[in-house]
Amino acid sequence: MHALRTKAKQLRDLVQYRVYRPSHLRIGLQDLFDWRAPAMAVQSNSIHLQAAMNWLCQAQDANDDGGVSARYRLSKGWAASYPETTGYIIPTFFNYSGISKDEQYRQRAIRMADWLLSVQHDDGAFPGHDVSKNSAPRVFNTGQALLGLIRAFRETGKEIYLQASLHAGDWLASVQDADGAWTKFAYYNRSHAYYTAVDWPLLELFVITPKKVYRDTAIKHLDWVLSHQLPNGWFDRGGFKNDEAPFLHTIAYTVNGLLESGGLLQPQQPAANIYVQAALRAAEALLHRFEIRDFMAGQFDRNWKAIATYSCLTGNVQTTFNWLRLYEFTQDPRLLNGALKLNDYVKSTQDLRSSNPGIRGGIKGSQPIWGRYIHYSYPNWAAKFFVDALMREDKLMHALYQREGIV
Amino acid sequence: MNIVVLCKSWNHKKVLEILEALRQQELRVRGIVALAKPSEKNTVSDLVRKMRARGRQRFSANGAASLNGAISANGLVLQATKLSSNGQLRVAQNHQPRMTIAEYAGRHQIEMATAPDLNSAACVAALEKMSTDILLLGGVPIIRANVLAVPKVCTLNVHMALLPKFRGMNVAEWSIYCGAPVGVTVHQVDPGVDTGAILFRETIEVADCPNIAAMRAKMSTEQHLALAKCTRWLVEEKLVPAPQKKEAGKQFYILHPKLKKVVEQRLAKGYKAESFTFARMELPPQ
Repeated sequence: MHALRTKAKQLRDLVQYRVYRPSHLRIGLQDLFDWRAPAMAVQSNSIHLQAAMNWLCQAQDANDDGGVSARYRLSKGWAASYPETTGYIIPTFFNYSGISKDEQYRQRAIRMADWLLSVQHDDGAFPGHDVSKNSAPRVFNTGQALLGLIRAFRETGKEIYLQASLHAGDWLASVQDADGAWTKFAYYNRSHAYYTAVDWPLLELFVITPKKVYRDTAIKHLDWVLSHQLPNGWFDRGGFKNDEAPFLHTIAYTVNGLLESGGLLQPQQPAANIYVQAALRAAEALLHRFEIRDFMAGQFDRNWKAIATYSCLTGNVQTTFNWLRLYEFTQDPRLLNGALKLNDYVKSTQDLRSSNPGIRGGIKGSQPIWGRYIHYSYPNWAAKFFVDALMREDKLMHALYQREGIV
Repeated sequence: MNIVVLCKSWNHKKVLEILEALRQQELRVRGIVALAKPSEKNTVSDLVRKMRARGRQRFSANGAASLNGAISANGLVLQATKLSSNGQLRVAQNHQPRMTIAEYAGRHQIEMATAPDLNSAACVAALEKMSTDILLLGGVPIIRANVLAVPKVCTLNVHMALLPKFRGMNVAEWSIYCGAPVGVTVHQVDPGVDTGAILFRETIEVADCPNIAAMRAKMSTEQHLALAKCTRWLVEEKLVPAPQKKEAGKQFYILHPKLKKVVEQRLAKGYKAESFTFARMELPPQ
């Protein structure tokens, strides 16, 4: 009976994820045997970058509102636009516009920012989930939208983005708990270490409008996170839920928030180096785990033991970005080395030839695609972090090769 | 003193170099314990696993890293054979040695045993049967405490960099990448990765090596000579082990081809060690 039920579920999955479509079937077979085309693994970064940017443009064009579709799902195609990730995709588009000297990406970023203004709540908050779900306000999502609004203000100088940013910043400060955590309007109404990714935009806001409440709110939470770090670098409360091992995705958010916050605070407060050091401890633990297994698992336990056989591709590229940033801080070449390898791995999973524009150039949530993180989907944030990681790698490698006289 | 070599049964060249270096030091080897070559199976599940492993190996980070490196796909180290007309080391693929480990052992009356796993009870039993005093590691995976507990004197390994700074993999290349002197270290083995007490260190000049392959070939020979010399001094009780501090060094991993390019470039220009400068903490670029 059990075997019959399993078979029935497998059959249902095959229909649900539309494996009868050749492009879907191809991905399924490739992942089943862990086959990735040889040529893809050795393509230059610029080819992979362009493919991912094309995918992100498709995701923006999938809906007519200017926001970026949350993901391409094998089951239902493109999803509705997602304020949280559209927020942090904005800086990626501005950056890529600068590198490619293509105004199109800048204009797209501005469209995204304008769309964000249209979905901001009256109290300054932004909704969780994509806009199809009419969600309640969320702290984390507001923080990420803030990143985009601040960048739009910096790029255009338009007051409207600044006002929206201040409004969001004030809301974030107003809903913080007394101990520095956020539980109200938080995911599952519980405190999370990965909300360091909210501290960072608050500190960015403090840089442009020296209103101390933003800095104080951020520091209060950063210190709360440090109080939850173990000597081995692990962060308690690092995941979405209490009772499950965190995805690499949220671990990487925590690390990134700490290091970017530390970087912003350090010029005025040398003691803020503790945030960068805390990020480094976790990043080094991940580097060791990745290097000794030659594989980055999608979930870890508090002893940094891998407890997943799949890889969380989003978390991978977030982690390579963190390693590259920390390499800039420390000049420890092992971080650069690890980032190059893990970027190669993710590059080898990117399908550059599919006839399906939802797949071609996108980055899966998990490798294989049925892994637990955003399964059977191509989330827009995976492509965004992939682009960020490759742009950073290119910048650092260009500088290194120039110094060494390598053509 | 009963000297035993622990190795892989198919790593003929390396092991023969060690055995020959020991013979030159007039040291008699009591025995060899070798890891048996895994047998090939052909069930359907093995074939699927092999296909997945093949995919993973081809595109794994370290698999890709080895493609451009000095290590060829079958694990053989490219070897410098002789000087070319312009005085530079000429590099060629190392061919199979003229003799296998088993043949060498037979010719020199060295006892030989194989084990399916070098950390297994079978391996421990073989080492105990040989009454091992000094165990020499000849290119083996990580050895666990149960095996390390067998030798009455100690277990020795030779490492292709100057410890304690550079532990782990591809350390000769990493030394160059970090602008540090290149050398070899003979050390006692403990359960950590290259963290055992240091017995001997020697800097090696690599300015005459035009590339990584030539450097590794030169260092390979030098390191086996160093291991043999140290074994002799240990037998003669002329060595005092110097413990390492854990924080005195870092563990390095397989070097990515893009960074290997930097090492190749520096060797091509005639590498001379600079000061060791990595691992500083400073403000991020604004």
